[in-house]
Amino acid sequence: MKKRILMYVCTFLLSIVFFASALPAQEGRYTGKQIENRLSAVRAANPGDYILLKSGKKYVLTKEEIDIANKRFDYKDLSQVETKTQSDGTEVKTISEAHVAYVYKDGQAIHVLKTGASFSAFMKHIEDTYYITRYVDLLEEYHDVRKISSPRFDVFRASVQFQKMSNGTNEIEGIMITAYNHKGQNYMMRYCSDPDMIWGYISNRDSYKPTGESRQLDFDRE
Amino acid sequence: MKPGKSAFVICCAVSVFILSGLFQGARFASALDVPDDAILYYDDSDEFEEDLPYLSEEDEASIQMALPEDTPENPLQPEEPESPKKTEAPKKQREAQQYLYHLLILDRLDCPSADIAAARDMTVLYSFKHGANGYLIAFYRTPAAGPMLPELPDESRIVLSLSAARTSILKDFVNSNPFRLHITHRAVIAELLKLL
Repeated sequence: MKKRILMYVCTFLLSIVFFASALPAQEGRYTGKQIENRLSAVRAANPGDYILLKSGKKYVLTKEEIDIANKRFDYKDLSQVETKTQSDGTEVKTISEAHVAYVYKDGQAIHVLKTGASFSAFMKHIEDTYYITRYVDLLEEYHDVRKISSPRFDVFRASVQFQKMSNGTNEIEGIMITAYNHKGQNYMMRYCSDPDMIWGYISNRDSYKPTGESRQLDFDRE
Repeated sequence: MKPGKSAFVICCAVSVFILSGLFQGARFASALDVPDDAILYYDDSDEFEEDLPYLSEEDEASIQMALPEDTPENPLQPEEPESPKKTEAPKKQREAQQYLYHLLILDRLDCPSADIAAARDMTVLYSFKHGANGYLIAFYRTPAAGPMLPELPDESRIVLSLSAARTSILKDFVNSNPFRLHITHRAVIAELLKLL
């Protein structure tokens, strides 16, 4: 009888050890699973799930990226995004592995995007929120804006720069978008928080100048 | 099989079953633990997108490539004042490398002692004196920052002073009629042309 009880206890303990080893390595924390490289799979993924790249590297999905794929992410509110603050006060917000925002102390920001999916989603937000501007050349001729084809653009790198601008009385927000594709082609567009704005060779009088340190964007009323 | 033995086997099987259920439940709970607010749903409106690969092959390449542009410069970052040593050293080096070449004709009629041999910061490349109080013809080099002329006695009179960054300009002048009006000595002209 004692022998049987001893065997039972041994079996019980072995079972605990066996099933405990089958638990995820970090107890209580989801380590993520590999998902298929499909939009539908990303939409159904959990934060921490990953796409295994051909090189063997894991492309780990963030909660924000899954929300973006599901069209429910609010780009205006980056307060919940994982943020690291640099020594100069710049906040580096990692929205995803392919979308990082650098937010400077004076309110300016630069977003760096690396994939077609991240760029397309962010461009949708820009188009919904801001007004595209027209370009004026040296001969004061107006040019139609070049729009980067949506919903997907073959992006190698894209940079979206946000700047506060002022003409001395009013303040607006200017956005400069520069995108490069894998063929080396370069596209640039400018948006503004106000409609009917132009940029390019415009008179300095009453024009909008950046309020931050950078002096790259100028706007004027059309 | 004895009743005691079969009871033991049943007990073991039940224990394993219960433990298995408990641990599977724990795994499932941990999976659901992370995204409390990640309510998953599918957007039927863009059904055609469902089959799209999320990352293209080009995307994979660009993700894995790190570029300097990926970390934009902070427009607010105060520019580090360059240390004086850093700026001055190349400046001095540049200045040291930049020379001016001078052609000087000096009338020594009233001041026979006038000479440029002892002039500071100047490299006299050639000088010739006509007689005891005739013309002094000199070809010398100075740093671009100067001084341009040697310290000369008050009585001496400058007939010609021509400065140029390139010796070819002086050579052209030496070969020209205005110079030959002043200097006719063949040896002088030949020496100067050799140096220029």
